[in-house]
Amino acid sequence: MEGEAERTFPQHKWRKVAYGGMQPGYDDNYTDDSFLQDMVTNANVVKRDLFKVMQDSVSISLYLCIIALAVIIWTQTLHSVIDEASLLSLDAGLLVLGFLLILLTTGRLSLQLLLHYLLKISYFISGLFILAPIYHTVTRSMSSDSIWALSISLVLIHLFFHDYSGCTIRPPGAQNNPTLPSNISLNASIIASVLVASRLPSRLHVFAMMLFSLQIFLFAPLVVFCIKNSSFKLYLCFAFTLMFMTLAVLYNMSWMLFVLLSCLLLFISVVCPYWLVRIQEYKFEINGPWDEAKLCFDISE
Amino acid sequence: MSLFYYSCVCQAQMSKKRCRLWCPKQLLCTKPNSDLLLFGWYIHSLNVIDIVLAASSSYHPSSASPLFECLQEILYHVNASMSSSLQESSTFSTIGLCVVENGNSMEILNNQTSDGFSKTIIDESSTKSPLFDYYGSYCCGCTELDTSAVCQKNSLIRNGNWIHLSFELLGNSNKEITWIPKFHHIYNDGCMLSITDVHLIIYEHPSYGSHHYALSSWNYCDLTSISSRKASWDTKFDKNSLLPNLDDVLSALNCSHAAKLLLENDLCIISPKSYFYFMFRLLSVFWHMVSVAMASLSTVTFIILQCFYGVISTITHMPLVILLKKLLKYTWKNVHIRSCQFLYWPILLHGGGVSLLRNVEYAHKHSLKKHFMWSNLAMDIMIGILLGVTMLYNVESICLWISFVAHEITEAYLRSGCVWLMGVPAGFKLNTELAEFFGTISLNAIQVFSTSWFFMGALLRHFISGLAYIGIFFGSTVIAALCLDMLKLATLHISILHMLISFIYSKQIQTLASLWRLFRGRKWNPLRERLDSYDYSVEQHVVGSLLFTPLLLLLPTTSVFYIFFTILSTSVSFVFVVVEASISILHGTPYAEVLLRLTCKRRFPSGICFDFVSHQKITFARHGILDDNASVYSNQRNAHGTVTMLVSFLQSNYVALGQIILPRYRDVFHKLNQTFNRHLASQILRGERVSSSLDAALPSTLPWMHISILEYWRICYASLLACNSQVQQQS
Repeated sequence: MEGEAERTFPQHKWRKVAYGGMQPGYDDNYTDDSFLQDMVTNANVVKRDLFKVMQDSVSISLYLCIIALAVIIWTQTLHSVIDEASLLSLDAGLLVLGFLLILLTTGRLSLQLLLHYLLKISYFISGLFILAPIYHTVTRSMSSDSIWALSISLVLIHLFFHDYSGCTIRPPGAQNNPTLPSNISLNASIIASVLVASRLPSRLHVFAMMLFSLQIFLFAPLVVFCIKNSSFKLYLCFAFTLMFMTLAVLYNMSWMLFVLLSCLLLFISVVCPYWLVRIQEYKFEINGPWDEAKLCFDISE
Repeated sequence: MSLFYYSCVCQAQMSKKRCRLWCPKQLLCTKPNSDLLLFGWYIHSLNVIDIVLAASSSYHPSSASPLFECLQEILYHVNASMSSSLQESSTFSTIGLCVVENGNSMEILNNQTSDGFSKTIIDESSTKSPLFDYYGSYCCGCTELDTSAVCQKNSLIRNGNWIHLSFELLGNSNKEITWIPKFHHIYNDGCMLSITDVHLIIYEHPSYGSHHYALSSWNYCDLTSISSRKASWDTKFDKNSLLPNLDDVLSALNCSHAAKLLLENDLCIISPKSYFYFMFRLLSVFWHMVSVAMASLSTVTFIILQCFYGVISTITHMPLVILLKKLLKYTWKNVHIRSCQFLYWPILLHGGGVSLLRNVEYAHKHSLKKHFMWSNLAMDIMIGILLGVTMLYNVESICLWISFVAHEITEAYLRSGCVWLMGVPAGFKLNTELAEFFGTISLNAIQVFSTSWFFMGALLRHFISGLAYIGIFFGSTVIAALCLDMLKLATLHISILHMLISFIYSKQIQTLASLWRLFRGRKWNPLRERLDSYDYSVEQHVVGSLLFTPLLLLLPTTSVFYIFFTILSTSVSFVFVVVEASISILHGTPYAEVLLRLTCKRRFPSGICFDFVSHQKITFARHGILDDNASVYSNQRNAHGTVTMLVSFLQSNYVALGQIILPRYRDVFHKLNQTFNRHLASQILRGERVSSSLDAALPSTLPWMHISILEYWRICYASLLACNSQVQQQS
């Protein structure tokens, strides 16, 4: 009897409606084949190539090497291996080199923009020079251990939140504003460099050290970004040169650190990309009419 | 001729038929020899009929007194002098007749009332109507009274309201009262009402200087509820219908004394006053002398004040005077208040309307208000003289003590505290350079001040003598105010250092907060009072983070110094606040009220209560005088059962001493509430300037008075005399 009743009711075809209420002859949770016919799986998934991923991971390795070099300079200065004159000349050399690289890589750099940069840099330099005595005495009553612990954790925070794809300072023509993680990373790096600089013996030391740290943390990403934009091959060359240079310096300093950094670089540039490509096959994403609407134009325009 | 004040409230409800009688104790003390004519009020509201009997006089129906011929005019005169609120609710008139049967324990009260509700029946109609005849000749069993008194009743009766009460002589059980009235029957608008419940309430008549009755609690307190000490309201009376009516009843009770006095005068009944006459004369002569002395004294004060005022008003625009005025702010204010009090006390003592004072309650409240200012002034000056004389005798030791304390505080707290902060205070790792900078500045400021105070210390002796003389003249509040101002001057270095360090601290905190907002990409919008999003450039960010680090690391140093100076200045402020509050308390204490409350607490009633004595039931069958003709009347009554009689004494609840004083002090500490504490804490944490004054309420000042010296003397003299004569009149 029940089967007959079921057979008599479905005269109306079941419709997929959101607010139709319960349709006669069908259960409340009834669906038919047409329910999922609009679903699309893995529509936006990009097939990742191992080599491409490895190329992308170079930027991380490169920045890691830059930071490693900066930390090496910090320790050497704190141990009085590098005196303030050589640090200042290093600052000047890095500044000139950076400008040259930017000038060479970006063709549309005009004199006005250059003057703009120079003005800002001179502001920073004078400001740092005025603030150097304060930085010099600011952590005098703290112990060196706590300063080191703080600086190392701040550098780790900086590395963790750093924006590896873009650049903190906007290169000419870029639109995007800095995001919160990149702000945190910049803050952490500056506080770490202030803490390290405050342990130095003289005011000139502090000034030179602060300038160096700012160049590394602010300018280096910009220079790398410019090089990458102009020519990828040049960028790769630059990256590998810097990596080998860092490893060589570390090899001279400490064997253990050298092994550690090489392992880290290997892990970042080989193991991690391999992992990423391996886990691609587990990717399963669905799209359908239930997705929220997306804008197909830029809202900022 | 015996005279009674007889007050009766009869509450009769058309449906429920209940009645309340309010009798003065004085009436029931002595057994009357003859019939009594009763006067009072008949207050009739929607549910309740209230009859207030205020006075009575002997009434001989056979020998009609000529006084009764003009009784209506007398009653009109008495009524016109009552307070207007009472006149609106009811009219003072004859309300009945009380018959005393010789040798019989029973009396019949023939109670005729007249009120505004029932004026339809005029004299002629009421006397000639069969209803009147019926009740007058037959019902009450007092035929002989009524037949002989018809002609007098024509003059007495205007309306047809009647109450019949039978009276019973009490035994020796109660010493205070000898007999009580018993209810017999009542007429309203010429119609007889049958009554089931009678509540007899015996009260003592209120008089000026002794006591009054008040339904509400004390005037400064909230009118929340009638505090019931015994909570012994008769449950049969509905409270909702009772309360609005009781206001009128109580105002009638409070007016009964004045009505009695007026009636006494008009009926030419003078109580034997000659016994005290000589004493009264002596007292008034003495009072005249006191008045002359006081008036002369205050006139001397007046002359001195006017001279000072003349001098000050000429030089008030000089910059030195303006500076002095700012430095001695509190002293200036208090001297001003005190001068106004000196000038205006006779005027405030003098004022007062007469018609309002017929009500004893109003008279009491008015006298409290009147005596507030001069009692305050006198008390303050007495304390000031005490303090001043003590100071004059101990100038040397006071000087020594002050210099010792100042030296101790400077050495033990300020100097050593600053030196301690320059090291490693409480294990805080301060920035050495900044701490040394702050410490050196503080030490220098302290040194400069202590040097200057060392030189000023030579003048300390003269200052204290001057303070004592000022205190003797102006009173203790001015001493306190001058001390406050001097303390402000002496602790100027602490407040200046506190201001400086709190400025630095608050700026640092604000900078840190705004930089923190900057790092989060936010910006405070002061116009809309919210956080807006903010797109900042990297340069701003870098500058911000370069500044943020040293500011954050230098915060402990600044905050330690800030905490130290905040503790110092807060303790100084606490002293200021205590002195300021004591000034306000001295100004606000109602000495006259406190003294009266302690000596005569019956002047401060708050709410009434009833003290039940007995509960009797009266059936009319017991009364032998009822003849057959009254059977209609008694039958009508018996249809509703027996008459329940309830006898109780009216008592008052009294205000506690705290209830009088505390409301005055509440104004002093009006600023101290929960939000104030929270506000203060946030102000201190944010390093904002905290005001060191309580802003306690001070008496308001009045404009300066410009009258001649002779006139002022006359006003003083007149006000003092008026004060005395009023006391004599009312008692």
